[in-house]
Amino acid sequence: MKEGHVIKATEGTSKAIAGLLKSSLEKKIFEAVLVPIRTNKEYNYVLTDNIDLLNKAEIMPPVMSVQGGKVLQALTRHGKSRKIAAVMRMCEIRAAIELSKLEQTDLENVFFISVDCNGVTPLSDYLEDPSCAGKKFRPLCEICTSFSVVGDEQAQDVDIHAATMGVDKGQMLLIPMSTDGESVLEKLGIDKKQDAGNWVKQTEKLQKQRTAAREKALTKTKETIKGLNGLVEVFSRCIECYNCRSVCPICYCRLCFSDKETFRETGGEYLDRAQAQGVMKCMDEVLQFHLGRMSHISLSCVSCGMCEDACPVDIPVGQIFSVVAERSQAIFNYVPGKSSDEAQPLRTFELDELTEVEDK
Amino acid sequence: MDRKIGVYVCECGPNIADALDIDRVIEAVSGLENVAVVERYKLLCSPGGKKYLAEQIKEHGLTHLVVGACSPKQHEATFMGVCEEGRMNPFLMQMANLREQIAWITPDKEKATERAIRHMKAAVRRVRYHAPLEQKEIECNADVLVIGGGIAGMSAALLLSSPDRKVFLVEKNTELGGMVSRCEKLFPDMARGSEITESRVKSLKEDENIEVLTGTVVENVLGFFGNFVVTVREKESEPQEFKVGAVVVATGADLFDPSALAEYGYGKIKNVVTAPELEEMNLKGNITLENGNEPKSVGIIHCVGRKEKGYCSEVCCRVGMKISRYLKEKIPAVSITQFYQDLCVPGSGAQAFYEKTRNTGVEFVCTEAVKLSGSVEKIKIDHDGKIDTVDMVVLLPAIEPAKDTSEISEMLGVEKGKGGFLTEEHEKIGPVTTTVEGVCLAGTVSGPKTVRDAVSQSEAVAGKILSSLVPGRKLETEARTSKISESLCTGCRTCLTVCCYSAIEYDESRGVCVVNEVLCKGCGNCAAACPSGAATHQQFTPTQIYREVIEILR
Repeated sequence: MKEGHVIKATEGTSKAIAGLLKSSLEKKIFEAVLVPIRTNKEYNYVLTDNIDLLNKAEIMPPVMSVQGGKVLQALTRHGKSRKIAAVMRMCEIRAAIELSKLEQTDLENVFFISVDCNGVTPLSDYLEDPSCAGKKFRPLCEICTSFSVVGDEQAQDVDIHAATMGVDKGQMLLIPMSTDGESVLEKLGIDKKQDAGNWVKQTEKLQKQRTAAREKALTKTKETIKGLNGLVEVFSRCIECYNCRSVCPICYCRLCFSDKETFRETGGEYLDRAQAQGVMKCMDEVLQFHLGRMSHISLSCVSCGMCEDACPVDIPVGQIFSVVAERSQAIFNYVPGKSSDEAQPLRTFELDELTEVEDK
Repeated sequence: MDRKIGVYVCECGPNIADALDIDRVIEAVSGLENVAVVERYKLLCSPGGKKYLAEQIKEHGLTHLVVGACSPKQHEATFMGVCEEGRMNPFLMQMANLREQIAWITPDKEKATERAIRHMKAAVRRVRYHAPLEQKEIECNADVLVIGGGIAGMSAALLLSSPDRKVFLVEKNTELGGMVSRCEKLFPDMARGSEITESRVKSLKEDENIEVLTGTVVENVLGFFGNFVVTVREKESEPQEFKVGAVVVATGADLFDPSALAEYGYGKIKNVVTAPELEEMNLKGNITLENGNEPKSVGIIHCVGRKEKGYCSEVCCRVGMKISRYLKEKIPAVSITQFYQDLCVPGSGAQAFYEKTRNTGVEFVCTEAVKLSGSVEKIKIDHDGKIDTVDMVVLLPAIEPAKDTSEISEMLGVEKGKGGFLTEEHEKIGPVTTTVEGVCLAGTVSGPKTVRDAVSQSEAVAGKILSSLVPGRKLETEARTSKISESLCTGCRTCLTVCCYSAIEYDESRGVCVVNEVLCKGCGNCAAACPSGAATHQQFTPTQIYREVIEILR
């Protein structure tokens, strides 16, 4: 049975974690911390060693305007950081790990603190009515199964997990997930241990509910994109703003394949094509863009829902991608972001895969 | 520039002309964008055909060429030559394989014609996007490094040396000769091993174009075919550097250590010896037990370690027979029993050798499992529940990769394959070359072999190197290589992991990967693996493939 180190959280999760970060900065365990802070109504990730600023820390901001994985990419792609602690949601940590496998983040000196996540509110809803924060959630958050560190999907690169679900009010359980995590807790003198059975029970129960809800929701989404016609229909209102691509933490290419002129042809060639087929949809690159992006990222997609949040015409693009991602990840028995030691399926091969191809 | 595509369909005698309706194919491609001329011809690869095609290119001022004929494997080079004749860049030509892929395999003429139209359209659409590529040449060094002074290495060195080609033969041991020199007798002619090696050692030492470096190890090999830089070191002395154009790896193999398997009691039970230990005894002149007496009965056990290694070591059965032959010669009264799982005696002379051995009174017992136990000056052999008692047991251990094979594999970039031996480029049609151009394998470094096979490989290696690395001649590099776009590359280094030719480097300062055009063989692995479309094969660009596939699938 898991055990956690209990700390007080009478003023809420944010204050409790901020307190933890403050003392770790004072004790020089980290040179700086990466946390979201609140400025008026907005939230931003900051990298800081300013202890006073941590009073404004909002560990679980109600919205996600930037994915933490992308923040870490910007911070470490051109060379690693010195020792820092990053407080993030699971989907952000998992995205950062996926990016590390493609050398887009360097996580060597990043100490991850994850927190049980209830989900985030869609940006458009929050902007319209800030009071819906914490009440309304992204559709993908509502069916998220990796909101904590339980079950098969738990990320192995988390150092400390802050458990809140099923934990007594006014308390928080810090669960060391790595030897690094253990030694940090020791250095901070947090040694009061408590059984984490309630938290495990609560999270496992929620995960079970979510798994069922996820299956149901994604099956429904799958129906809407059935066949080429379904796909054409769903994406036909796409305005090609490419917001989904720019907010996606996994889409890390410097110049997107679809921005290149690969698919463009001469007028004469288009005419050849239209005549041969009798009719030609103008233009058919929209679907190619989405299908191309899908094939590029589906193995690494962490179902964070950034793309859907950013879509100005309400295409359920995150749910559609999750349908595909779930199935392609299952083929390789791969959970994106689970472990930085696990190679991405398309970057490695097993000998029996080759035989399988040869034998067919 | 306005494109003018010339399209030519070869009748290939009756091969293509009878199988499909060429006139309909011509009609179908005639109106296509940029197509300037479409013609048919009886046999384009004939001298007349080639001349006709070259003249057509000039006459119509063609910028691109499509030839619908046979497999590019057969005549691509021919038609590329024709392009040069017509002063057109040869990479602006595309072939459509109408013979092997259509005419020969499609009995229905109607279907064949339809397929031919698709393939021709695909070639036309693709060729529009071909860019001229440049064939480059580089200077090369014709000298050769041979690593390993066993029978394979020595044979290769002797064949390769000439007044304008220096050979460096590097052997880590102080003596040349390797495994063969340690054999008292060799099958099937029962000649002395040292007879073969000594004459070679003598010739090597007399050859002034060969520099023999014994007691020396190769520390590093950098560069590529025609231009390798080698660093060697003799024990404590300073490292020495020299340049060569090719490398022959002939580092041999080792034998499986039977003490790893308890059932043989090797090292524990008295008078259980391995084949090389017996050879040594024989070489010294006396085959005796530990107490000094001659053995009256000997058991020879085959396949020691075969199950563990997962392969048959090919030569051990014949080694077992050889041993029984000379045991019989030396100690005529000795009784010999061979315990085998499967007998492997390939080769025209081997069957006769086997029968001759049997006729000398050697017993062969087929058995699944063998367990040895010692009992007062005797050894009990439990084979499938039956018990034999003998004075001496000779184990025939499996041949396994030499200990430094991994280091050599890493240093040269040659992969290890089945059983941990170095892998050849192709099991059947590239048995001595490797995926690293200019690095060849000879002898047991690539797997168990007889002396004869090892020497054959050395001769093959010499042939390969002599024909491709000619002193004074430049090397043509592959023109159809991959390129990595600096603006697209994210520096994820996926390409580095899939490049078989070590042709890609990561440029730390710019954070991007770069292709070395001399090393690149244009296999396209990087282009397929690149997640961000930065790596492209110059003759298989996404645009070209896309156009081609669209027409094929239409």
